Amino acid sequence: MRDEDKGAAARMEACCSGGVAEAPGAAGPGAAAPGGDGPAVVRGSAPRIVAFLCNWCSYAGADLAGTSRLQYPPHVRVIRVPCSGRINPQYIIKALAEGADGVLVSGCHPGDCHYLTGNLYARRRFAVLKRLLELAGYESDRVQFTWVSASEGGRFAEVIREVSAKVEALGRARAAEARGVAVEATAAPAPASVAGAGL
Amino acid sequence: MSALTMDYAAQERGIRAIAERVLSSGEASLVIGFRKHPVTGRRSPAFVRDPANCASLVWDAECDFNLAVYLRDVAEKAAVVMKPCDVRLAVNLAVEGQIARKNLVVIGVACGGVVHEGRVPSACLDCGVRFPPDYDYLVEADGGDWPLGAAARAEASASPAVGVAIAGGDIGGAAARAAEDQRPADPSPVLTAEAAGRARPPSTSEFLSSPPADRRQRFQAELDKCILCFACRQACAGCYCPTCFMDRGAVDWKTAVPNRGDKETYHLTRMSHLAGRCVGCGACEKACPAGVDLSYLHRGLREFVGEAYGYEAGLDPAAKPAMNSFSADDPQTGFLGGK
Repeated sequence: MRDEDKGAAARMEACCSGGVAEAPGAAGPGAAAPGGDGPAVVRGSAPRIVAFLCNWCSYAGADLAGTSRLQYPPHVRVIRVPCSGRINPQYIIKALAEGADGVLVSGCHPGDCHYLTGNLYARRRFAVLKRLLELAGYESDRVQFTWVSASEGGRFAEVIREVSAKVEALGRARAAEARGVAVEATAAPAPASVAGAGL
Repeated sequence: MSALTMDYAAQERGIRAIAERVLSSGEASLVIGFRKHPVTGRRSPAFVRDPANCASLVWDAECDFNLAVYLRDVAEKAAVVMKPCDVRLAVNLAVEGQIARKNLVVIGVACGGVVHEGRVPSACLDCGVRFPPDYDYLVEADGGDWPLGAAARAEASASPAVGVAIAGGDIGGAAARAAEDQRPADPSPVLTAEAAGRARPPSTSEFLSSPPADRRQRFQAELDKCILCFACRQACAGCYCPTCFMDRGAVDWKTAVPNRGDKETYHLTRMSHLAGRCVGCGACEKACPAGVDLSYLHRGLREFVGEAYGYEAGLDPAAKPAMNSFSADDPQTGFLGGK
């Protein structure tokens, strides 16, 4: 998986250079302190999606998608966690507050949890968090929860395609506003359909 | 403010009588209630140990402070003067294993809403609970001290409420009695928006049907007022983490110069922690020196937890906390591929 990760990261860099926002804290021209109210800019339209995947099902599902050479958009940054029940809602909130354009959380299907009940507790937590974020003005599509098993490589790719399309449709302005930074018209053509090239 | 009074003098007499009885009988060694602050004149918490000092206890609409925040810190058996929302928080603390109910004597007080700095908090506009769901002593609106235990609660719930309603500023009079609340079964707030001189906030479903940008604007407007002083956290009886995540240094949950993202992280995280636990007492709103009012978010979560999991915090001492339990068929509305 790690090799594949590196490959994906390299591809992403190649595809998205110039089209992606400065990472928070990146010492780019005009970049402010992380999350600061300074004159940092969000460039381009390629969304940045943070994906929290549970180690036992969804991460393995992503692995299978990779070893099966399935193509999906490169907008997702994966964070591997032991269990969807390990995901503190705060991580999701922090990701959004720091300027992530979308967050995807995926764990084992209910009933399949490696720790038996982790995803069942998580399900309530996520449902509540989703409602909270909607109330706070986040578009419903920015935060997605789903279940992907280790054998569902195809479904993983499908989920990423779907989430990327939805977040892309929402645009980047909201996330930039959350960080108190400006959105700059894209300098380089945004690699909006990078995935399509490989398909 | 006079428009928002009930028979507080009678309630005050009741509270003093119960406090005296509890202290002299040794049922509790400490009574926590309210006094008039000698300097500011505001209602502030009072800790009474001597039965002779019970006359210093006061009660009126301005006794808005939530005394449930002290429960975890009290080492002795204490009797605490509590409004229905405070009692619900105490029940919630007991449900969560934070306090032992047997170490607490609840002097429950029928409540028609409070006034904080001349203003009725949003939380009170939303609240329809006039009687505490659990108590050892109940101070009716007419000041009668009924030494009713939990066993007699059913009887109490059937008894007519006397003059607890506040409608059009009538003090326990005919108009109030006509609009009398029939216990929590009737959720319509007696403390009407007209009585409070303020518009009732839109319902959550109405609010959710507005465009996300409008909701965002509303939230952002509140965040912009916030100065991250954490008064809301300190005033909250549900916020009892020994070390709040915002005070931890290992992870930079907040930056040196607080910005919007920090405020958002703080408030949303606090709210997600309080889901299924907040009873809507409004302590956060009242404690805020900057006028941040996020009660609509708390209310939205309360309603969601009620709809999705059938749970209301602080009403049932035998309940299992909503966020500490699950059901195999919990709804997955909004999940990708969920039903």
